[in-house]
Amino acid sequence: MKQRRLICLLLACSLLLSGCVYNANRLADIGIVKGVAFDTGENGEKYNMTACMLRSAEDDGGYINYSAMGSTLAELRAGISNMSERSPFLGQNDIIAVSEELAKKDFAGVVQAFFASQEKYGTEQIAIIEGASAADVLSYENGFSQPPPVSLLLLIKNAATHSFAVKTNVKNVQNGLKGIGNTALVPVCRLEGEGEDARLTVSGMGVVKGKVLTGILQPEEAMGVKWISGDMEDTFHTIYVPELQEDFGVEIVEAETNVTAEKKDGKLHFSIAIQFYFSISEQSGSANTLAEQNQAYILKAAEARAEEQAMMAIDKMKEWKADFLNLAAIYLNRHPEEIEAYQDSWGDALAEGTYSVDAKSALRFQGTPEKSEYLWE
Amino acid sequence: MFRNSRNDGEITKTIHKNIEKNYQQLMETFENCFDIVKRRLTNIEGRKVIVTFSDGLVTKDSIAENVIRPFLGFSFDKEGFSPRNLEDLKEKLLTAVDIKPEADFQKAVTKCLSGDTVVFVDGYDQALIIQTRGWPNRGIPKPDTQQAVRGPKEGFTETLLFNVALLRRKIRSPKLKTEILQKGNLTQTDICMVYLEGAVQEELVEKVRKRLQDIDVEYILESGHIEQLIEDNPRTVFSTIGNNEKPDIVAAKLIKGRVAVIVDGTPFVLTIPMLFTETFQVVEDYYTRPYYANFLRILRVIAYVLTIMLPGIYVALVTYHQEMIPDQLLETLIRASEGVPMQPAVEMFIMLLLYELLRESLLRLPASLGSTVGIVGVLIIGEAAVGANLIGAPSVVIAAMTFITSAVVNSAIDSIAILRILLLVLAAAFGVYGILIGLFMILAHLCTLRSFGYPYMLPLAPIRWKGLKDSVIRTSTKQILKRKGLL
Repeated sequence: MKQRRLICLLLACSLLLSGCVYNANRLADIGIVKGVAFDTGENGEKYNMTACMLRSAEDDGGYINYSAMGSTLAELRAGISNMSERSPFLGQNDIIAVSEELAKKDFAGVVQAFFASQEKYGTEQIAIIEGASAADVLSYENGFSQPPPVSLLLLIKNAATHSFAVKTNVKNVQNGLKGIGNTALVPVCRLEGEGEDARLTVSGMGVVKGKVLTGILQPEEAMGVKWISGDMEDTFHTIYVPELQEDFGVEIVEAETNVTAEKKDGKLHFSIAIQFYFSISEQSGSANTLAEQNQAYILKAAEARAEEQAMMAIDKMKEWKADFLNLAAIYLNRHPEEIEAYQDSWGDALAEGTYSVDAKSALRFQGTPEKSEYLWE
Repeated sequence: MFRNSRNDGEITKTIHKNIEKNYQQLMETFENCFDIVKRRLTNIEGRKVIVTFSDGLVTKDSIAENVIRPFLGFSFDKEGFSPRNLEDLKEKLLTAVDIKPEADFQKAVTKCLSGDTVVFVDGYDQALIIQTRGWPNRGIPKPDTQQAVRGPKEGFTETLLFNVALLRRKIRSPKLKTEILQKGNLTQTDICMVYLEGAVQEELVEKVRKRLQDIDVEYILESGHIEQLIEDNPRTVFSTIGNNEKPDIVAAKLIKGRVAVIVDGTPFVLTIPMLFTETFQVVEDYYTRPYYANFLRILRVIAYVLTIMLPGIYVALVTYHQEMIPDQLLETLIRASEGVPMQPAVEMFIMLLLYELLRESLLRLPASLGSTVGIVGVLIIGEAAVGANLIGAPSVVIAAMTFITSAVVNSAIDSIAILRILLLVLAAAFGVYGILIGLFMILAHLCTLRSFGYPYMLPLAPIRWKGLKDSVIRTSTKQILKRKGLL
């Protein structure tokens, strides 16, 4: 009997401690936020937050933007709540856009606020808006049916899958900023043109070191990051083959990168071995891609391109002394006794280090050899 | 074998040689009972006979032909017949099929009330009990609760003997044993225990027999009374004794080592023990190919889970965990809930209550009125209430899905209704966490339940590999038909 009472008591305690009953929300009382944009605040306030919120059916549906200023997320939410008559609900938030200006001052503050929010647990996308105000992207008319935040999210996801953008979210950024490398990558978007001619593009990858935006990697450099991180599958590239004087559109089918780290003469040395398979999807000329010699030319050009892009990324890393390649995880995880020694000088050590990149590739055709032959001839 | 039920203490009279005394006793016992016929006869020699029977429970033609006519036309002296006791009368005079002498007046009265004819003959301190039972019945009906597209259409009826005959027709084996007893001090209801010797475990038979014998109540009118009197845990919401309306189901269960209890006056036959997995089994599973049968069984399991959890999950998600709802669905839900004055939990609770009320009214009303109530209910709930913003359309959809899925596992409808409300309350108070705690409690409770000593969750917990061949999934028909016994 005592045991039963104890079990009942424990269950009752655990239920009450769950706090659910205090977190109840009526659907009609919450405003679903699909995207938020952060700009630098005015009049002494730290942030200017714009939230893209679901409109009520009475207001003909759709989405509407509300802006409020404040220094904490709670203040900003309260401000928006006062305007919209609904409590902003961030559990369905897809994206956080931070203006370049604010990112250069305090990027980590925004990340930290959202990481701590228990509504989404840091799974939303984060992006830096180059040049323009971040709020502008929440008003961007894309010509499709989805609201602007969803459009921005799809743009970044597509770039991450098929192009140079690195896959990331608030949680990844927060984790990157916590480590000894103290660096994270964030996609950078740019809004070009105005009104109906406005066009939103992913322009590069922002490197956040410490608390602020340090620099922006150009697409070629960002591609180098992806080569080194081994995240190249399903990406599309154009390779110019000088021997054939032709451009080839290729798709990376499989890629694997192996990074080894060691110390040589007291300096760090990283060997990066890239192995990838690709298929040719189009060509500008009429070179026979089944000819062995031609294939050798294409492979050579692809490997050179990969090595070049990887080295571009490494050069930027050395220049900014920012470990956006996450090399600390590779070296210091194997040599934890050296963490103390590199605590404040990891960036310098990376800049002084030496790097070698070796890419090997092979062609992988789709379908049967007969079909391939038919296709290429 | 069963002993006859105990005396109830009210009737302690004996049968006298003097027929007038017996007549006096009959008159006292059946005072103000217009349906009890006490026919006095005097044969050509002047020997007096009293024929007593309950009008409506007997075949009068049989009494006239096999009892009254032989007595009236028979001359003891002329035939040179001098019977020493009633045995001679039984053997040489009466033409009825089943005749037994009875010395106990109380037992004779009980037999009379059961439809037998009791004959008192002057000069004998025993009565003759002549089997003349016969009363109006509705024939072999089509069962209402266990419809099957393929398979026998016959169902049990209210007459115990017919029900036993239906089983005997399915299992033509002397190993099919039928033991009878009477229970209920007032009703003296016939209860028959049926089992298949060799397939059933002797301990189980003994246990059922003992529990039936131990019943001590004033009346038994339906097998539901028995069910609650003999089950292991009467406080649980789960039914640990099965009830069936179809002879083929009961026959299959007997072969699988169950004991059946047939109660006179009801078409619902109890089967013991019942396991939880039987909730998802229907007789048609065995008449169709295993692939389709298994597909349907899995659907029934899903339907069971949905029907008890769906309202709770909906309330938990829209009240506490909106982030778990896909964005476009959430948008739709928000638009639908705008202007609705009640909390989702209250809304859902009202919907469930309305459904139970609707179901109850449709069950109780005549079919002609029932359809009207159904239409009114659907129109009011589905159209007017949503149109007037009293209830959100999503709640109606969830409630409808809940009710459709509950119809799939109709045999467990009573426990489903309670569990659904329990999980709804927990979800309304504590969200998904509450649902998980509720499920944990239900599962723990299920694991503690026993049906006549057998774990209710067999063959899943404890696991019995042989039993798994016909649990949630059934194996080939050949394997199942070859096997007899419980597990």
